[in-house]
Amino acid sequence: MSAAPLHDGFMVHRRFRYVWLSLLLVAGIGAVFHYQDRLPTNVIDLAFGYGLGGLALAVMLLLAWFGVRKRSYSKGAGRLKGWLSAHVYLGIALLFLVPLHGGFEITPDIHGLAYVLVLITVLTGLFGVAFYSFYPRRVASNREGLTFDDMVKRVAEIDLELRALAPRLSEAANDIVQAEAAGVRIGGGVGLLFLRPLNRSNRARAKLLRLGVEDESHTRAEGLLARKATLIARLQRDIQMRSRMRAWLLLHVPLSLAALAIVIAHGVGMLVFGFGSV
Amino acid sequence: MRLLVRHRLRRTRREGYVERSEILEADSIRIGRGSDSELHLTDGRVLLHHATISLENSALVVTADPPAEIEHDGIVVAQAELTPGHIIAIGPYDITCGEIEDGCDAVIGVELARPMGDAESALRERVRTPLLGRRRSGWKIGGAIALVLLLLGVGLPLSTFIQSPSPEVVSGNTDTDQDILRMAETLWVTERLSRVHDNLEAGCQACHVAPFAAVTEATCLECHNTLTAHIDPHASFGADVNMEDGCASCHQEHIGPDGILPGVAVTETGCIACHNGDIDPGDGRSLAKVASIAEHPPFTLPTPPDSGLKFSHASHLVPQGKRGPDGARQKLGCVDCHQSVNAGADMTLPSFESGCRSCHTLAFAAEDPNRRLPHGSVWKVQGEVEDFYAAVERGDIVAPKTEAPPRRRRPGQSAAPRSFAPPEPVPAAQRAAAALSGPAVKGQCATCHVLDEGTQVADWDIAPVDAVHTWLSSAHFSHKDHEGEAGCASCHAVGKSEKVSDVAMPSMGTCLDCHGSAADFPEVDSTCVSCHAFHGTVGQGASVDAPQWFTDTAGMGKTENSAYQVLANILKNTRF
Repeated sequence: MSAAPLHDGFMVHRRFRYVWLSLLLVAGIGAVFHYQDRLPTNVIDLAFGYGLGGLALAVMLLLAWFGVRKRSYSKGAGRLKGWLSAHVYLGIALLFLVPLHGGFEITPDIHGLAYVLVLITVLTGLFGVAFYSFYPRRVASNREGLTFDDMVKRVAEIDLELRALAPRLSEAANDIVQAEAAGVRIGGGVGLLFLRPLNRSNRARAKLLRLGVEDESHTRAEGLLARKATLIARLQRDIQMRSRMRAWLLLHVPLSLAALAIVIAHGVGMLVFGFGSV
Repeated sequence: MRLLVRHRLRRTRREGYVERSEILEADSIRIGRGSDSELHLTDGRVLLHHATISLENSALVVTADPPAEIEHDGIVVAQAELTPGHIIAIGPYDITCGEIEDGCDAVIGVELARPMGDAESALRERVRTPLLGRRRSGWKIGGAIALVLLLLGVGLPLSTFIQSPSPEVVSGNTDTDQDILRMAETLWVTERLSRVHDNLEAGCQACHVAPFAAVTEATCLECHNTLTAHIDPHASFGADVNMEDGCASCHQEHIGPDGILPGVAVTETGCIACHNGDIDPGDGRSLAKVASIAEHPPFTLPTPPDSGLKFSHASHLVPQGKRGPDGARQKLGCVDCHQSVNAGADMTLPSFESGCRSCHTLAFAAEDPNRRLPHGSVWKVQGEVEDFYAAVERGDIVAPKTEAPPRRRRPGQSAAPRSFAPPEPVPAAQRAAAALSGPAVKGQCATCHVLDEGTQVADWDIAPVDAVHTWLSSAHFSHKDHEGEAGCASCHAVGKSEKVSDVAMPSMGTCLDCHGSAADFPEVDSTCVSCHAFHGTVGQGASVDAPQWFTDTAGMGKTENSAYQVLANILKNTRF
């Protein structure tokens, strides 16, 4: 008996059912695009203008519906995991369908804007896929069994210990420890998505080592700073990873709605000019 | 030892404490977080067994249990005696010595002096996680953006389409409101209009007369109402010819500034689709096969008629020049005889007066060297010559006197003039007849003209003159577009031409030297329509030699009926 995996994620849902569906879609339309010279021009114009445009719009509406479907976790057709799988792979298919629809040409107008917005929306989605594929496991391993609050509490304890230790240190060492305690910052906003700030505790520890004072208090302070630095680095990594897992969605959702609006404007405009006239 | 422990829970408003008392009895009292410690301190910073209190010589001694540390007044010690007024710190707790009370060996106060809460909450205030804080969602802001975009991208342009164009818009007198609407309209434009349609003042609705409907050719023909058709609507076409879209089959709009004029696309698909040697348009003509511009068939030039003229380009273009009436030599060029007309597009056949007279003056009589024969009619010439000699006879015209040579005499004879009888005057009619049949008149005419003998008054007449005026009937050619350093002779080889019947038109190959290969001369326009016009214009006939149906369909755009009829017929009779 083959051991079925205990859990197959949305990426491999139902043996890549939606991967095959998307591949089939892209390959089929790509083949028509490749052999378009063999078909009458007016048929091709209609097929790639109105046909593929309508198909891409339908796919976009399906993708957007995922935002509604995921809020009613148990209601609605199909499993939510299936919906997510379809959302991801049909979204990736859009990366090909839209350029085929636009003839690989991006113009500086509302039509080019629709093109670009859809592509950017899908790209932010790909970040989401990457983050949700890698980060949950890494967040867990980074915490080493502690909760976020546990880690903060430990830093606070170390701070108190350092404060208590401070009077016993040399003047220079005391300055370093006090400055470190006053200056420590954890977390951050948009900046932290891209860059983790320098670890002040690590720097303070290095300064303390450079003083070269070798007594018990100093050694202890240095040890405490090392532990604090490790904890803060883990906290920063934790916040960065979890912020990334949120931030892409804060881009993805407004972008997708804006893309949908512009695509509708583009489509209505094309229809207003008359079916078959462009 | 019996120890009274006063747990100081919190300070009161005055200088007191809310306390909870506890009495511990043991020889030595262990302090720690562990449950087996007699003095149980719960803070996490206290070790399970942190220190031990014992009574030694009626003094309270606190001893640290390594690796725990205790502090005595801020100094880390291994052991300290607890005396009033001094503090021993165990982790976050301060232990003080109190007044001894009845029934107790010692009294101590225990206070959580450095509670974790403050430090932890202070640290928590420094933890900034704006992206994690509330359950944020992009739906609200995204929805707002989408609404605005929909209003701008759909509502605004659509509103301009639904309302009919106001007179201001049509006349171009747009105020600010209308400008905004015009800008809104252009939001949907795929690619800018062609340059020739820049003048469409009514905006989109100039052509897109109704929303959700394609532009029909009837709209095109409202303005382009003098065009004639090119294709016989009753003919059948090959499978590649698709005229389904009417005007738009060839003229596509919104594909750039030059888009509306069909260029290479039409050359390679449109024209050649029919001009492939297979298609019979049904009017008895067959369309020549033109596989590509480079394989263009040779010119079919008209056969030159009997010109009735004698002319040698070669003798006029001799390098040393020709002697003019004043005797000086002058080198002749093409433009001395052929003038440029139609803004440089065409070159004329020289007329006598503009081309020849300056050298061939047609002076005919010594009596008046400025008297010239008229050109164009033998009758006029005869009248002029007869009038002239009559006038001479009457004495109206006196030949200029020439100085008589000095007289010479023989030796011995007188120098007195001998009297001669004047010559017998010749009658004017006789002199005129002699001139007309002699070199003065007949001879001069015969220099250029073929003469028919024995017909007219002077027994001769000028043979009829004829020439080809339009060599290329199916194509237009502009000399202006081709003028360059190469000069006329690069196409027209007349340097050795002795006869009028020599055809000086270049061969197709001369054209194809430049027009044949777009790769060699990318700047040279080399499409079918570079030389051949497609549509004719009402009143001017068609550019292509017009079969009868051209006139049938001329002006097809003028009434809706004819325009539709023509195109409907095209579609009806076309097998796609």
